[in-house]
Amino acid sequence: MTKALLGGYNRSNKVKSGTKDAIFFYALLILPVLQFIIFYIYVNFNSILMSFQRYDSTQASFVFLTDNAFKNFQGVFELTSLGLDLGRLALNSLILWLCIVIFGTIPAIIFSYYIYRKRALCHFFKFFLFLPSIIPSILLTTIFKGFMIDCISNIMQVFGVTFKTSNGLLDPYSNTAFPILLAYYIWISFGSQVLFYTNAMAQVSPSLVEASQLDGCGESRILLHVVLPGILPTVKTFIIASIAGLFTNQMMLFNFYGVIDNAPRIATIGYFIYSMAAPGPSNYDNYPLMAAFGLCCSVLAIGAIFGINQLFKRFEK
Amino acid sequence: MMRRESAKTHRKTSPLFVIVFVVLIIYVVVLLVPLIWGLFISFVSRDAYSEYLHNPLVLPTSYSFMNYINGFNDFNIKPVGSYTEQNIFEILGQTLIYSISCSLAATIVPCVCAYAAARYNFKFGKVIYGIVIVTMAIPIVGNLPSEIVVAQRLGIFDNLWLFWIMKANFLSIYFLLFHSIFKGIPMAYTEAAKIDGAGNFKIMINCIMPFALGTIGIVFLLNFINFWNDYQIPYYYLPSYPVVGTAVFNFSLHSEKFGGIPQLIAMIFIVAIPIIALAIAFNKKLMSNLSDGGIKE
Repeated sequence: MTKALLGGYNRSNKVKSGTKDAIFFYALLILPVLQFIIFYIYVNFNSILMSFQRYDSTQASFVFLTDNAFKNFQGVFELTSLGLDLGRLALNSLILWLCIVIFGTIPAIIFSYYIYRKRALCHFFKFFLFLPSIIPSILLTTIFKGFMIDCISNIMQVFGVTFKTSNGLLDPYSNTAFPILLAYYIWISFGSQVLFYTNAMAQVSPSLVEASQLDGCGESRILLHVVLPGILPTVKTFIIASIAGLFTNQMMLFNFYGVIDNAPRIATIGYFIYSMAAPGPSNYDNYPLMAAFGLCCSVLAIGAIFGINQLFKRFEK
Repeated sequence: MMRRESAKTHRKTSPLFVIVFVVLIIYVVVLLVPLIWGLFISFVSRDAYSEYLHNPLVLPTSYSFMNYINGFNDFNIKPVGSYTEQNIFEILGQTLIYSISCSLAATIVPCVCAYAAARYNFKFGKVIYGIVIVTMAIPIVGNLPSEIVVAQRLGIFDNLWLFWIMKANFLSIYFLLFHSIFKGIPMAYTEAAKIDGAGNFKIMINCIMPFALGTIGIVFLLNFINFWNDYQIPYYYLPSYPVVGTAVFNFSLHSEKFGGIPQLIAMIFIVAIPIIALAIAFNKKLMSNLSDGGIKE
């Protein structure tokens, strides 16, 4: 009898505790989920709707296109006929992405390995690799811009090199600006990668590294055959995350130049979208076209991610 | 001790490490040269700088603090749609409100959501985890215009006190970081606290959160540095409330109005010094293993 009563008491207590847990659990999540619904689901849904709308300045609102619902998408393909070199923007974005993957990832892995193996001045180097992530990017770009224009370009002029404008090597309409800005971008972007890779390397069993050392493996072989397979998921995550950058990365061009018109030699797709949405008197008119353009890019990016994922799966097999 | 020392001295010098060492030295030099050049130039007067531009092989010889004094006095900006200028203290105040509120939101929300998803056995917790993974993998391009329009409709656009709501999301890598920490803490702690009569809130605050306190601090610091240095989001969303980033960005586009490059660099150093000092003070913490929270084995 007592047992039965106690069992009943325990059960009802458990039910009560379960209800309390559920209430607490959903209370913790309700506001963040609401935020997610508004600022992720609704924003993106609205972005899709916007690509079928136009801005009506008399009503000061966005209204659906009635005559041709796909006018904004047509507009995306007509950007070229309006003088915008879309091919060049895509090429610049692709070069940027490839350089990030090749010249950003490979050195970052090697630097991380050096730090992981605790070689000479490893903490000093780790600090300096991370430093550009701490210093305001606007400070770095302003100093670099001043240094390249007022110091390096001027010194080159002393030695007889001539430049078309006072911007010297960083003239956005010259052939020199893009490679310099690209190298600068990669040069200051090692910090977060090194931090994540050293953390991932710390998870690789030290006994594996010691065993391969005892077997007579050199450092490069240990890196390639022991450490790299251990950090491959992290490398994969970085490469997949960088695909989104193919369409959003503006290579800090906004820091260097603000909004400039018609500079296809340096501009990327990310910079183009960003500058079209920049605050200005006629920016609302651009929004539907940018939404349509973004939607096209998202479809391409999702396709690219699936492709890269399949490639990694094959490589892992 | 002796064996350890001899092991250290007998460590083979790999050619790979020699090359990496040389490359890293070059990296540091290339990074430092423009910064040192900038620091020198920030102490040069406008006239001396003009001379230097004509003869760039010789560095200026006279230096003074005038650029810093003038830069401090000229650090004023007229916000969009306003007739009055804001001074450096108003701008710094706005930057503090923006950075602290957004950092708190961007730290607490992923932490609390990760706690709920990791410590409670409800299916919805797994859904939350799945949402984070999926949204991180699927890139959305070009939703900035839509986000601006939605922020305007909700009254968050150009509202310094409510802007943090936009940053209060759990869709970040920090959610995964907190999730792994909370998942690694044995459930026995929660059960023991429950037997002692503690409620869910008390368990979260007094029993489990202390294990993640170090990571919460680092994530807050990283977010704070990020928001302090940011100028693009305030430039788009807070036109009436310039922060130091937007002010400096505006100055950099019109440097001739503000005493040229030397004074501009001095102005940037003035607002960058607090954040650089903060980063140097906490540099060991910032560069330590972020996942060093939870229970040590």
